[in-house]
This record gives sequence, C-alpha cells and structure tokens, in this order.
Amino acid sequence: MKLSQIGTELAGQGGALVLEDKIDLLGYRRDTSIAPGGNPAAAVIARSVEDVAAAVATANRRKVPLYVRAAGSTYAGGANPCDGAIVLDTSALNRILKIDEDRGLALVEPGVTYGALLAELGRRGLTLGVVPLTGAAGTVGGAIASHGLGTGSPRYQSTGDEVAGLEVVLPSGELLRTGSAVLADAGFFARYAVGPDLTGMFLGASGSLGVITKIALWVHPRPEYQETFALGFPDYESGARFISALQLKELTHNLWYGAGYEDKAIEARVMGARPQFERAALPRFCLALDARGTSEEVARDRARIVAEAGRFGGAEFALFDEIFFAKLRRDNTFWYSYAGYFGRSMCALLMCSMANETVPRFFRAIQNNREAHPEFIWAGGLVLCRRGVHGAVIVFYEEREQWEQIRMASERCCRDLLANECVPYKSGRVWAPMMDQFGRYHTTLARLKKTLDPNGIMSPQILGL
Amino acid sequence: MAQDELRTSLAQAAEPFVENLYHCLRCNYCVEMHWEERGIQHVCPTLLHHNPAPGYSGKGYLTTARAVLEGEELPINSLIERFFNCTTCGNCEEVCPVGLRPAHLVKQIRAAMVAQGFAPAPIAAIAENVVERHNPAGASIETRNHWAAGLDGIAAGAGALYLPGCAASYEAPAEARATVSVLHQAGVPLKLLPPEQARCCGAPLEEIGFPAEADAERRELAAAIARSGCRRVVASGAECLGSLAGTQLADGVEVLHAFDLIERAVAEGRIGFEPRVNAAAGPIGLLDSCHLSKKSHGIAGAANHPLRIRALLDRLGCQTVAVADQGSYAVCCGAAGGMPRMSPQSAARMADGKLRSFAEAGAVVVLGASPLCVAHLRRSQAAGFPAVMGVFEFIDSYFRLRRVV
Ligand SMILES: Cc1cc2nc3c(=O)[nH]c(=O)nc-3n(C[C@H](O)[C@H](O)[C@H](O)COP(=O)(O)OP(=O)(O)OC[C@H]3O[C@@H](n4cnc5c(N)ncnc54)[C@H](O)[C@@H]3O)c2cc1C
Ligand code: SF4
Ligand code: SF4
Repeated sequence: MKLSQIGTELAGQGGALVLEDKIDLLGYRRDTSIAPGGNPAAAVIARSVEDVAAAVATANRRKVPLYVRAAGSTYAGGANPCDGAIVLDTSALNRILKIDEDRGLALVEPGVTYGALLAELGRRGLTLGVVPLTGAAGTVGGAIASHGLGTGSPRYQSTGDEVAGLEVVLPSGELLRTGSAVLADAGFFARYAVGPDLTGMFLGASGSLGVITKIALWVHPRPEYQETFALGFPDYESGARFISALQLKELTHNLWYGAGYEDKAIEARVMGARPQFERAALPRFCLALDARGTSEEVARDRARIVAEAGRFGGAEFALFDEIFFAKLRRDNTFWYSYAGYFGRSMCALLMCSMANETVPRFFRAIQNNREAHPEFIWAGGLVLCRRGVHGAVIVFYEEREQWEQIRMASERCCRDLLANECVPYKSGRVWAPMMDQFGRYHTTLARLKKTLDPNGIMSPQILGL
Repeated sequence: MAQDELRTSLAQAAEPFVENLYHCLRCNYCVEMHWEERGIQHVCPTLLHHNPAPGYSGKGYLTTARAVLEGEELPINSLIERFFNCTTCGNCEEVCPVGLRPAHLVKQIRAAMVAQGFAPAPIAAIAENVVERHNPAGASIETRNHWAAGLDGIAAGAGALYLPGCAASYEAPAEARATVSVLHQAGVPLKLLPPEQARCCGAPLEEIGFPAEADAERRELAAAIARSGCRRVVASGAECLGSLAGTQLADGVEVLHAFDLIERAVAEGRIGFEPRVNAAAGPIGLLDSCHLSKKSHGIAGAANHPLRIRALLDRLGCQTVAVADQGSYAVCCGAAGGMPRMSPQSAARMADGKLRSFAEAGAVVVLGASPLCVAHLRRSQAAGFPAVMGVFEFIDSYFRLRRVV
C-alpha cells in the first residue's frame, strides 16, 4: 500500500515499519483498559532510537499527537490514542543490550518482555526485583511508564524503584540520559547523581513526557526456595495493623508477593471448595504470602510472621493456601494464574495506593459501589508492598452491553476511592478526569509538560495533561 | 454490491464467535510472549515471518472480526490478505488464558469469503486440485501409489488399511515407504486403497475455507474405507488423523497414527530394536507438528505424538536436543493453512526459522511425524541446516525391528 505523505515522513531513512491500513490500526485503538480509544491515522513500529526520534520529530513538525505503546496490556488507558494520532509502537525495540554482573544491572530496550529478560537472567542465577503478573507478555518499558507492581513488591515496592537510569527521546527529539549515565562514559550504575532525579519524571508518565528508549534495571540473585502460606484475620482493621507491624519490623524482606483478599473472595473460594466449612469460622480478611530465599530464611521468617499475626488476632489459614493461593503461585508468577480470577469476563481494573490504615475504608468503598451497581461483579484485593499497599478494584462487565455503563460506574468508584484517601497508582486515561483534584501537583506537572513539549504532542489527555 | 454482500456474510460468520469477540482482553499473549518454563518463546508465525502488523495474530483477527460485526467499513483486499495469511496452527488458542478460539474464527471467515467468491487465486487453486484430483498439490490420481512400488509389506488381504495421506504419497514418499517397511518388520501387513478410490481427508480444504468440499472428500474417503473391509485405519498424515477422528466411519473402525502401532508393540514387549549402522544419528531435533501437539486440533492434537516419540527416542538411546520453543506451544513451521501457496516466501521463512533454531541447538537431524511438515521443511533446507527426516524414515534407516515371540 502506498504511504500517505505523513506516512512517508514517518518511515524516514531507517527501518521503521509504518502502518496506515485501517485493519492494522484497529489493533492500536485500545489497550486492556475500559477507556475508549480513538482511530489513529498511522502507526510506526520503531526498530531503532533513530526511528523513535524521527517519529517524534514528524509529530512535532506536523503538530500531530503521538502515543507510545508496547504490548498495550495496561488497564489504565495510557496507550489509547485520540483520533488522528500517530501511535509509536516500541515492541520491536526488544533487545537485551547488556547484563552487567559487575554493576548488578541489566541494560535493555523498552520493548523487551519481562518473560524474555527473566529467562536470560535465570540462566545466570539472577532475577528482577519487581515483575508485573503479566510478565510473559508485558514489557519493561510499559510497566515502568505506568507504575508497575507485582511479584517483588513486598521486598522492592514498585517497578520504578528498580530503575537505575534511563535513556529518553524527549518531545523535542533530543536524547536524554539520566542517573550516572549523564556522564556518557561512566554509563549506568547509580540512580541518584549530580542533582535532582530526572529518572523519576518518566516513571508513571504514561509516555506523556518522552519516549523511553533504554532502561537500566537492578538485578538480584534468584532465590533458591519458595513456599506460600496464608493468614486469616477477624477484620480489616487488625489485618491492616498487622501489615504495618510486618513492614516496620522488615519482615517483608523475604516476601516476594503478598495478596490481601476481602471477605467476599474468601467466602467464595473456601465455600466453593469446601461447602461443609463452617461459615462463621471464616476470617474476614486474608493475607496470602509467597516467601522466597533459602529454606532456613523462609522457615525463620514464616515463624516470626505467624507469631506477629497472632498479636493482631490473626492465625495461619492453611486451607486458603491449599485450595487457592499455592496453586496460583506455583503456576508461576504470571497472570495465567489469574485466569480463574478473570474467567471469561472483561473487567475494569482500578489501581490505587494507600496507607495501611486506609485498608478498611478501601474495602468499604468497594462494598458501597457493589451495592450501588449490582449489575456488575465487584472484587477488591490488595498487593502488599515494602511500605503501604496497593489496592485493586476489579469490576467485571459484559463489554457488548455494558461498556458505557462500566465507564460511568468506574469513574464514580474512582471518586469514592479518592474521597477515602486512596491515591491513583496506574493513572493513564482512567483516572485522568480526576487529575485536577491534585492542585499544585497537577499544575506543576502541566507546566513541566509545557516546557518539554510546547506543542503538546505527547499523549494528550493522558494524566489529564 | 458484491462487497456489501461479502460484508454481510462476514458479519454472519463472525456472529457465532460473539463470545470470543467481546471477551478478548487484549492481553497480547497471543501476539508476543516469552514464558521459559512453558517452552514459549514466541507465538504467532505470521507475525514473526510474514508481517508484524497487528491486523494479523489471534488478537488481530478477533479485533477485526468484531469491527466487521459492528458494521465498520474495512478495506476488502486487506481483509482477505490478512485472513488468508494465518497458518491456522492454533498456537494463539494454545496460549490464550481466556480460552478464546481465533484460529477457528479464521476458518469461518475464510469460508464466508470463499462462499462469496473472494478466495485468493492460490487458495482457489488448492481447492480445485482437491476437487479434481483429490490432493492439494494437483498431482495425478494414477501416480498416488507409485511410492509403494516393489515394497514388501503391502498385502491385499491385510486387515489394516494404510492411508499415507496426500503429503506422504506425493511429497514425502520416503516416509510412506519407511512406514510400510517398519510396520512390516513389526508384523503388521497393510493394505492400500486403489488410487482411483483414494481421497483427501478434507483437512486442507477445511483450513482454507472450503468446508462443503472438505465434507464431500471426507464422505467419499469414508465410503472407500468401508469398501476396503478393514477394521483398522493407519494414517501418517497428522491432519488426516484429526480429520478422520471427526469423520463418521463404520462402527468399530479404529483410526490410528502409524506411530501408535509401534508404541503399542513396544509397550507390550512385542518388538525390539537393533541398531542398523554403527554411527549414531547425532543429536536429534524433534518437530512438534501443530496438528499432533496442540489441543486446538482436537483428538490428534491432544494425543501429543511428539511427546511420545521423544519418549521412544530416549528409550532407544538417541540424543535429542532441546530448543527454546517446543512442546505444544512450539511455533508453526508454516506448512499448513494454505500458507506455502498463499505466501510462499513467508512460509519458507517460517521453515527457515524453525530449522535455524534446531541448528543452533546442535541438531544434525530433525524428525517430524507429519509428512506435510517434513516435506515443507525439506523445501527450505539450506546449507548448514540439519537434515530433515520423517520419524519412520529415521527408524528404518537406523534400526532393524526384531519381533519378540
Ligand atoms: C490481567 C492483567 C493483569 C495485570 N497485572 C499487572 C500487575 O500485576 N502489575 C502491573 O504493574 N501491571 C499489570 N498489568 C498491566 C500491564 O500488563 C503491565 O503493567 C505491563 O508491563 C505493561 O506493559 P505493556 O507493554 O503492555 O505497556 P503498554 O500497555 O503498551 O503501555 C503502558 C503505558 O506505558 C507507556 N509506554 C509504553 N512504552 C513506553 C516507552 N517506551 N516510553 C514511554 N512510555 C511508554 C504507554 O504510553 C502506556 O501509557 C496487568 C494487565 C492485565 C491485563
Ligand atoms: S493460528 Fe497460528 S498463525 Fe494464525 S493467528 Fe493463531 S498463532 Fe498466528
Ligand atoms: S491471548 Fe486471548 S485474550 Fe489475550 S489478546 Fe489473545 S485472544 Fe485476546
């Protein structure tokens, strides 16, 4: 097919593949989120940093919006373009450039999947700090640009905390390196160098401030042993206080994943598997944990964690682990294990962060929304972090009939979460309408964006910018 | 006008898949993923070797079909090009965590395109060959059994009917000969259908969107099987096995892959193997043919012959190599779904990619249990690549069977 003029400009000199066929562009309309997407005018599959810079330059020259996208599996809507935009597909920038064991880091292109990187690291007895549950297909660039979390969060917190430095094509088309790599010959080895941390500016920015083209990630020894166990608590309050104690005593150090379950989920799982179980004996909050390290470390920490839980009225709830969580984790870190969770239904996923004491209000907010919108199936869960927790609200809906309604219900739920001190985590488009509530943060971000991107070409509307 | 009718007909073809179309999470697993522990390194051969654009792939086909169903005007030529460049391997179905069936959708959409007269010329040619000469290559009917000339082990009165399938009969005759030879040594005489009665199993037609013609071939084949009087049908073709398993045959007629007979005889201690030559074959790569290893291909896929062949090779002391993508998630070699005719260069790249990965893993010979794949890979063989052999060809070349009385 003959390219349009803009398509020809996008193709530039290099090896970028420009797509303008409507059928191919359909695939770039929407990511995994419920957010509506537009019809892009063209897409570029970049194969080099030069391709990225050329695409950004073309977008600037023509003042056409440009959205960055890799696997498109974000549920925050950050990869959804507006009508007439250019989509810059970074999934073919997927090389592992270097695994530097002396520096303890991996230098990768943004389109590499966690699966590919973990495999390569695994051969050297290494692993990554934080890996989203979609790691087999999700890319490193997409995760860090949308505040990833997952396996490793109790120990390392967020995917962003594991970034040692970045190379970014700025909206001007210029190339920026952050961290110690500001001195080109020194390369990446330290996140904090010279002055303020410019790396952080691009983490969670959903492509709105520049295109990440290289990522330096810390690597860690792969734990040799893994076991799971679950704790039950009589209510959310005691569970939340336990989490604070766990974190302060740094008992999260050998925990690689921790998931908090609300009463409804516990009931459904336990009664589904063991109908004869005495309903009144069910805990109302359950924290399921995946501990890794040496078998001695795991045994020691497990005993201490169970003892600590006892101080808050909690106890081991082996049945929950046995019927559900152990299998989920044994099936590996990736969200295949979540298939039972998602079943055959589409869902809205609203992700927020909260202080531990907010946990009971978070679950109450979900319950309120459940009652207000019984036409959807609501679920809530927590992901344990080194400090605080992430909360996920999962709302199942039927896309053919309920796509409009789910968007409205989600927006209402987001506002409820905000009112309950739950702070947006993965924001993208889904939380964009609420961004004006963040006052000076939002105006400062907008000013920063204006300075870097005076034509406003990078991901307009994302993050409310 | 014809295009409007096509759009309506495509929407009708998509409708039964509505559950699939509206439950694709767009998780991208069927597009690109790497999951070491499951032997998944890539997923879709079309994206890898034909075109990386999102209009292809399981997700791409579901997205496109949904747009069709919702009445969006899409360029017809591109639609046809996209839907006819899938190998129908089913790997997207294998990896989909939701259990969606894009490869099945592709076949339905193709059928609607064909029914409206929009079959691409190379695809229409395959169908014409099958209808007129009962084989996709269009080879002459009379030469169908030429591969068997002078072979011991063919007996008119045998109770087992051997159906080598079109690929083995015309394109991988050495595998057909070796199968008869090995089974003869194992004490299983075979009967052949007279060439004028032999038919295609219908699978290639089904894959390219000619279900009615496929059905007609299958029915005639079933009738020929009934006329043969045999109670056991032994097939070599991976796709034949699947197709026959779904065909109404006379009560009590058993359909097997030739390897099943060897496996049974070994399990029952009825045969032993003696090495024929002093030299070992060298490291062996085993091809996981999609029709024999992916669940989306029904009974034949679920039976996972490659896994079982691997077990036999281990038992025989053969050294096998591990490649990054193997098992039921292995990427297709490009032999099926009409790909070699529709886009010969892409299909050749698929084969090349496959052989390259075996070469990199140190294999000096690659074995396939599907003659279709074997013939396709052989066409792409370049210098430095491993030799390609059918499984029976390998057994017959390197071992002599001994019957244990
Ligand atoms: C069922 C399910 C479960 C999930 N579980 C988790 C989980 O546990 N933890 C988690 O963190 N995520 C999870 N995700 C979300 C997502 O899969 C991951 O975060 C993934 O790593 C994102 O990568 P991607 O390639 O899909 O990014 P995309 O969706 O393509 O992009 C995500 C965002 O990053 C931006 N972006 C992408 N590449 C670049 C770049 N090079 N430069 C600048 N910006 C860029 C995009 O514009 C977009 O805003 C889940 C998703 C699903 C569907
Ligand atoms: S059937 Fe095979 S070639 Fe077709 S879309 Fe699925 S994985 Fe790709
Ligand atoms: S793997 Fe399944 S759910 Fe995921 S994008 Fe492909 S078809 Fe859709």
